[in-house]
Amino acid sequence: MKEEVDQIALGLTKAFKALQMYGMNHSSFRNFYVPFYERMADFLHKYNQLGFQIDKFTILHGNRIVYKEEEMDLSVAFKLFKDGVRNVEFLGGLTSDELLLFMDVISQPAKEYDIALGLWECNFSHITFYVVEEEEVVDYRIPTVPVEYVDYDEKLKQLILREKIDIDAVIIPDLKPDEVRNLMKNITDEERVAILPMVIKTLTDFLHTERSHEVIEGLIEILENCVNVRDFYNARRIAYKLRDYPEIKFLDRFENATTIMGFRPVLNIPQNELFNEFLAFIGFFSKRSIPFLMQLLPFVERTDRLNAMRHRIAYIAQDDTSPLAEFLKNDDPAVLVSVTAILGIMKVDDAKTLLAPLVTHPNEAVRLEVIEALGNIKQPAQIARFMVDPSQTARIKALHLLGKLKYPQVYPVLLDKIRNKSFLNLDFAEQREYFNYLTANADHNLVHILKNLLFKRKWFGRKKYRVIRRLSAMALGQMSSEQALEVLNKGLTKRNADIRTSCEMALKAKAK
Amino acid sequence: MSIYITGKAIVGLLYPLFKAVQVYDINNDVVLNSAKKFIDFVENQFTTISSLEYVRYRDYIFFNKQRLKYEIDNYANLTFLNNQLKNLRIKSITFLPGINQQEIIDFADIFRMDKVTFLKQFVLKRYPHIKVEFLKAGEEEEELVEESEATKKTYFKALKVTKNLMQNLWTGRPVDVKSSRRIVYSLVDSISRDEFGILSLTTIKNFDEYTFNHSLNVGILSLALGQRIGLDKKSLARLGTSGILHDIGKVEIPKELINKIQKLTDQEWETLKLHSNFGVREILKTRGLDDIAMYAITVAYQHHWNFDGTGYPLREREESPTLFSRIVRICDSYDAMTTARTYQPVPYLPHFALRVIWSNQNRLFDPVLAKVFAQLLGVYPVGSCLELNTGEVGLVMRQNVSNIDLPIVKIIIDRDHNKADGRVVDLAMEMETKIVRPTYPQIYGVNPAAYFL
Repeated sequence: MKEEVDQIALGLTKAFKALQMYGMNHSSFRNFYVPFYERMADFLHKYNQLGFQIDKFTILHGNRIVYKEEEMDLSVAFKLFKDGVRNVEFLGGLTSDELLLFMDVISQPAKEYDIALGLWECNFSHITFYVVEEEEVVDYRIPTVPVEYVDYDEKLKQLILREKIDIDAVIIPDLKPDEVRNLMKNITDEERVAILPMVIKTLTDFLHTERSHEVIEGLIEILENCVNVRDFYNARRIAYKLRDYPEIKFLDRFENATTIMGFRPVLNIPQNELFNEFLAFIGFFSKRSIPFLMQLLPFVERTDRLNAMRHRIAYIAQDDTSPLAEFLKNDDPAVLVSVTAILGIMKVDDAKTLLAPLVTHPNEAVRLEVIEALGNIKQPAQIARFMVDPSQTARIKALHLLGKLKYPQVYPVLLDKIRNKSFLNLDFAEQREYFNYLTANADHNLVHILKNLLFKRKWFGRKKYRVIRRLSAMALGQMSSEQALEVLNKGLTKRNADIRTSCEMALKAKAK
Repeated sequence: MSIYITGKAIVGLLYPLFKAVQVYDINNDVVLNSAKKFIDFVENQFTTISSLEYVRYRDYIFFNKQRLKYEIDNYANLTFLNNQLKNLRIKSITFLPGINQQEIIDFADIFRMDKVTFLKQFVLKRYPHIKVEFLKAGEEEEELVEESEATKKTYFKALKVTKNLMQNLWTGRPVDVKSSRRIVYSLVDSISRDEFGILSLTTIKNFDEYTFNHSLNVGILSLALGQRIGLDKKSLARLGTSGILHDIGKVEIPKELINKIQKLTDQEWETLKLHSNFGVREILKTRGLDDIAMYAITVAYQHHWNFDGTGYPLREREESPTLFSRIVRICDSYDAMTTARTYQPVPYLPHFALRVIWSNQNRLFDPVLAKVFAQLLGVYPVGSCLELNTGEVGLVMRQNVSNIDLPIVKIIIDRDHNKADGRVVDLAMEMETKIVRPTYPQIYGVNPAAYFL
């Protein structure tokens, strides 16, 4: 038996050291733990119990030292001893889970943790332990009852009258099955649903009565915990309340690079709800957080979330572009795209000036975002500059926005372009945007212009010109004025098949 | 499967079998099926356990040395077993490997009979795999009056810790959190060993230092109620702490106001009501925001919220008190009613206080918890003084689990109206002794608490 106990004690030493070094989920710990448990289980199967006495730095079995470690942080004996545990007994039937739990408790950092309470909370079935408490002199005397000269019968009558109860009513406290079921459910819910929302509610309600330093500090502590465990729902509830106390800079501890960059995993988390809660929470942040939030943007994978983050930053910046201006000097096109988008979302006047240098930026994505932003801040004159952009996409986007913004100033220029031979060499998408622009900015003369383009006699290059007829017919269809429809109907009677087909298609599209 | 769950499961299988033989012939399918289920289950258990022993001790049932608690899901089964064992004066029953269907059916058949017939039949028929040990004469009665030294020690230590905690808060001195945590765990252990023992100590009231005893008593009553509804150890620790700390906000209310004898003015009443709010702050000061403190904060804030939505502090319509707050609401009211204070020199009789709770269920109190509370304390709670038809006065020492209106009493006033340290009478067993009415112990110059120490 001695040898078996020594082996178990050795197993405990090794498993404990491995646990401290590697943690519970590491294979090294498992390598030491499994044989330790097996030895213990074999022993208990044979002898049914194994008891140890705990001394300051030693563990004894039947007054024989089987474990000794004088280094306080490494000593199982000392950890147990300092919290008053003087005896531990393992019983037959011990499961591996129980022993693991035991190991987990005794390996907790010693300073604030009470091992005796930790073991108690585990409610082991096959591990018992004995804890010594400080011996105190306990006064068993009962307090004296003041002698009152009272007519107790009369007093009782008064009480019955006051409480208006039937003193003789039969009490049958049997619970109905559904009452038992509901109560059990209530208990399970109470254990499952976190107490946190209730505490937050209590503390915030408290603040309605009184501004208490302790309560505010308590809320801030909970807020920190919520942020640490990514519970942004509750964090938001607290932040919302604490906003009423502007003098308390409760967000100071979060508006730094370390904390904000720590949010990276949340950006691409599968649960939309959690991301949205995060978004709502950072809505409480101040402009100071913008540089750090900007650094988060490159890590956002989903376009919708990236867009949502940009909107959030714009919201945080309110009308102040200064925290963003620095990012316009950045060389990284991705950063420039984001900052441009945010300026566009903000719709502030000075965005126009800030974006001006980017109009000629060599990166197409940047220029595209600048067009979008200028569109948002309604700057068609700036957008018109992109009509000569080397990028077809940029030109199309610019035309599209000019159409949307109703900017007739470039109308003659575009018309000249359409009439120019070179127009036939453009891609269809771009050609279509020209006509869309014309329709959007139509004046009284446009029907006539389109009619001429539609019915124009062409002796050469008929095939290439077909697209102009189609787009002209479509534009007339979109306009749908009496005059425009008259032109299209007239086109149906023309001998030129291209004209007839174009008019038919335009009228059909209109009918749809 | 743990010993506790196994023990609970076997009682759950015995109960329908015992009930079936009361109604059907022993060859009926209902009886046979119930017996088969029992045998199948125990045979399986015998692969790991050598015997299945049920011991009855002071209305508690132990299975293989582990106490089976009265919880709402096994209350009927355990009460029935306890009642029958008590009637038959059986101390223990042990089922041994090899027991078969016929043997358990035959045993169930005689288990429903009276004491004398059971004894005859048990000796006559042989039950090789069922061992029964009977109580010796006077054995139970002797045990009943013995109070556990450990329970008393726990109570008084808890009282000391509670007192230190509150006094330190009053005087702004640091609070010993470790002691207050540990003492709650001791109380939980004490409750799970002997709930009636520690409940009897809640009869200790203190007129001069009402708040300390009251806080502890509410903690103990809450623990007992929490255990009865089946809360686990960890939840009990949270509940017990919440019960003890529920009135901690009163340390911020002027003492003159708390002890004022005259009717409070509206303004004074509003100030007193603030103790629920102050409790939040005091707990934060004392414990910070650990897991247990979060529960205690909520209870301190909500313990005057009524079941029907009234009460204070004001709340939103849809907000309801937590389970712990509803438990503490009942226990707080009960202990407050049954304690004499400056403004209430004559307390409510315990049975009267229980009826106030009973008749205010749905309005002030959670109706289901009020029922469980009545089950726990009985119609005449421990510490009640009862005038008996014998001309004597008995003090309720503990309640009868199976007969909540017929408690076990100790004769403290004899027929000649003299104080006596008389016999213990189980009113459920001595049917000729009847309760005439509850009475105030002060009439006889006795303090019930003295009999529990």
